[in-house]
Amino acid sequence: MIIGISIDENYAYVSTNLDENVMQIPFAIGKNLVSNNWFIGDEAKNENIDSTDIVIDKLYYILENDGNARIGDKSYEAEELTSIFLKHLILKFPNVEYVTIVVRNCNIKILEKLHNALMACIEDKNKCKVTTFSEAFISYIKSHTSEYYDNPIALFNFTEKALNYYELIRYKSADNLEYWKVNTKEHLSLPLDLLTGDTGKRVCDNLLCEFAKHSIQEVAYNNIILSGLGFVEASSYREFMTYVCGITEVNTDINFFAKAAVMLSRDLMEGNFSEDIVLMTDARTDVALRVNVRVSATEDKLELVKPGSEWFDIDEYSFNIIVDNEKELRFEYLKVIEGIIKEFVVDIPGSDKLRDDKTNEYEVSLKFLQQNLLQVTLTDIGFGEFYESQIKSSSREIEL
Amino acid sequence: MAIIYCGKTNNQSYYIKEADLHIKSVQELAYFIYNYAILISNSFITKNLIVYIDKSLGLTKLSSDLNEMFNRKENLVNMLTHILLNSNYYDREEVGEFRKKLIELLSLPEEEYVKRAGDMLFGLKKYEKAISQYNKIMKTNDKALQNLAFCYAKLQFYEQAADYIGELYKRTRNIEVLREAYYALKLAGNVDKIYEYEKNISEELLADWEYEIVSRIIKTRRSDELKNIEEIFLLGHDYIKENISNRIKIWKEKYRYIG
Repeated sequence: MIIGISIDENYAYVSTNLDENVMQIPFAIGKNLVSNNWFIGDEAKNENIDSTDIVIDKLYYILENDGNARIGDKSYEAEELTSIFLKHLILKFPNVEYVTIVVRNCNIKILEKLHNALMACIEDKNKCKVTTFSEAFISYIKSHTSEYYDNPIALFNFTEKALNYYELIRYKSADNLEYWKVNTKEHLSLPLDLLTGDTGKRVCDNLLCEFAKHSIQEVAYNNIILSGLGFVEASSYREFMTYVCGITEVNTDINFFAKAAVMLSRDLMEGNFSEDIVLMTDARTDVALRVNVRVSATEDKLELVKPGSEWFDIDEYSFNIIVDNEKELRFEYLKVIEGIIKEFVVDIPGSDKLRDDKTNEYEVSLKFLQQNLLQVTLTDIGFGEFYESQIKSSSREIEL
Repeated sequence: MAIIYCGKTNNQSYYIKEADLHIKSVQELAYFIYNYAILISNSFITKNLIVYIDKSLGLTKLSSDLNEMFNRKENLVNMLTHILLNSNYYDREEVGEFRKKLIELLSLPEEEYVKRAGDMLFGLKKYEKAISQYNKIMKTNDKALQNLAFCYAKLQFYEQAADYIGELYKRTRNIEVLREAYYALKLAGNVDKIYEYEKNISEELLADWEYEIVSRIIKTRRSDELKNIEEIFLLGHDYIKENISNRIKIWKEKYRYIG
C-alpha cells in the first residue's frame, strides 16, 4: 500500500492508493498515565478523556518551535512525539510500501524532524520521503497530464489559518529541457474561525477575491484548483467563485494535497522522474553550481549542483581538494531562469609550510541553509598518514 | 598551479606493507610512489592493489590498464609511471623527473640504497621497519649503527639503544658518542653499564654529564609547562578560567608543601 500524508497546523490528512476517501486526523497525541497507552487523533481530541490522560494538541507548533512537552515525569521532544503519532497512524495500514509526508513550508527544521520521526517508523530511507506541497502538486499534475495542457495551473489552498497561492508553469528551454516550476510566493493570513456569520463570510469573500486578482496575472490558465478546509463551502464565496470561474475551469478538492502525496509516493517508489524534466519548487535549487578545480587533465570545472536538486539533501555535497599556494577557491553559478552567471570565492585556510608540496588537503562541504542561501566550509584534513590535520577551517555564507 | 579535485572522503584504505601505512586516495598512492620509491619492492603492484584502485577508488580505466600491464609482466618503473600519470596529481614534467630519480636510485650501491630506505622509514616514524633495514648494514656502516640506536631510543628501548651507541663508541672512540650512550643508560636506569663500553672514565666527566642531564630535564619540564599554558589559552576564555584556577590551586599546594 502507498500512503500520502499532508500535515498542517491542526490535522494530518491521510490518503492511500487503494481508497479514494481521505482520513482527516487531528495532529494530536495523548497518553494515559496509568496504563501508559498512547492514543492519537480523534481519541486525543475526545472530550471524554480521563483525568489520568495527558493530551498534546499543539504538536505542529511544538515541532515548529523546537519545543518539548512534559507527560507525567518525562519530557518528550516534538520529534519523538511525532514519531509515536506516525507509528500509530501507519500501523492502521497493512503492507506499507511507501510513505510520503508533505508540508506547506519548506522549513528545514520541520522537514528534518518529520524525516527523523518517519525514519524511526519506516527504517528505510528508500521507502519514505518528507517534502513540500509543491512537490506533490507537480506529481498530481504529472499523473493527470491528459487533462492538463501547457498553460499554467493555479492552486488556492485555504486552510483554517491562511490562504496560499501556487502556480505551476511549464516551458521548454533552448537546450530542449522541460522546466516545471511551482511559484509559491503569495500568502494571506485568513483565520477562518474569526470570519463567521454572514458579515464574516462577506469579508472573507472580498479578501479571497482581491487575493485571487492579485495572484492570477497570467492571461490563459489551464485550470484552477481549490483545496483545503476553507473551501468546504466554496459556493458561499460568490464573488471569488464568479471571478475564478470566469477565467477557466475550476476543480475543488478539499483534500488535494493528501491525494497528491500518494501520487508523489508512487513517483518516488517507481522512479518516475525523467532527466529531461527539471523540477523547480521551494524544495529545489534553481541554480547550476560549479567549482574551479582540476578534475582531470582535460577538465578544470566540477559541477556540484544541478538545477532542480533538492537543496535540503545536504549529504550530497562534500568533496576533498588538494591545494598548494592558492589563497581562494572559486565557484560560479548560473541562475537558470534569469540566465545570469555569477561568481564567488571562499578563502582557503593557510597552508602548513612544513608540509611537502601538494599535501594540504581540505574537505569542502556545502550546505543549503535555505533555498538560496549556501554555506561553504573548508576544513584542513591533513594528508592521509603522512601529515596530520591542523584543524583549520574557513566558512562563508552566500546568497545565490 | 591548479586546485586538485580528490573526490569524496574514502573510508576504505589500502595497506602498504613496505612502509606499514595505509592510503585512502589515488593522490596518497601517487605521493607515496613519488616520494618513497626507494621503499617499493618488485612485488608492490599486486592484484589486490589493482582491485582496490578499481573498486574503492573507482578508477576503472587505470585498474584495467594496470591489470593488462601486470599480466604481460611489464617492468615496475613503467607501471609506477602509469599510476602517476593517471593520478590527477603529478604533471608530465614531474613524472619525467620521477623516472630520472628512480633510475638514479636503482644505480645506487646496495649499502647506500638500504641506508636511504632506513632513513625514509625513520622519517615516517616506522621504527621497527627502519631497524630491519639498518640491521642489514650496521656492521659496515657507522651512520646506520647510530640510526639503529636512535630507532631503539624512539621505541623507548633505552638499554638496547645504549648498547648500539656503545658499539659505535668502540669503533670511533668519540667521547661525544660515549656521552650519548650514558644518557641512554640513564633513561634505562642502568648507568653502571657505561663501564662495559669504557673502563677508563673519570668521575669528573660523569659528574659533568649528570649536571647536563639535570639541566636538560629542568629545561624540558619548563617548556612542557609553558606549552600546556599556551594550549589552554588557545582553547578560549571559559577553558582558561577553569584550568588556570586549577593550576593555581596545584601551585599553592606545592608551595604549602615546600613551606
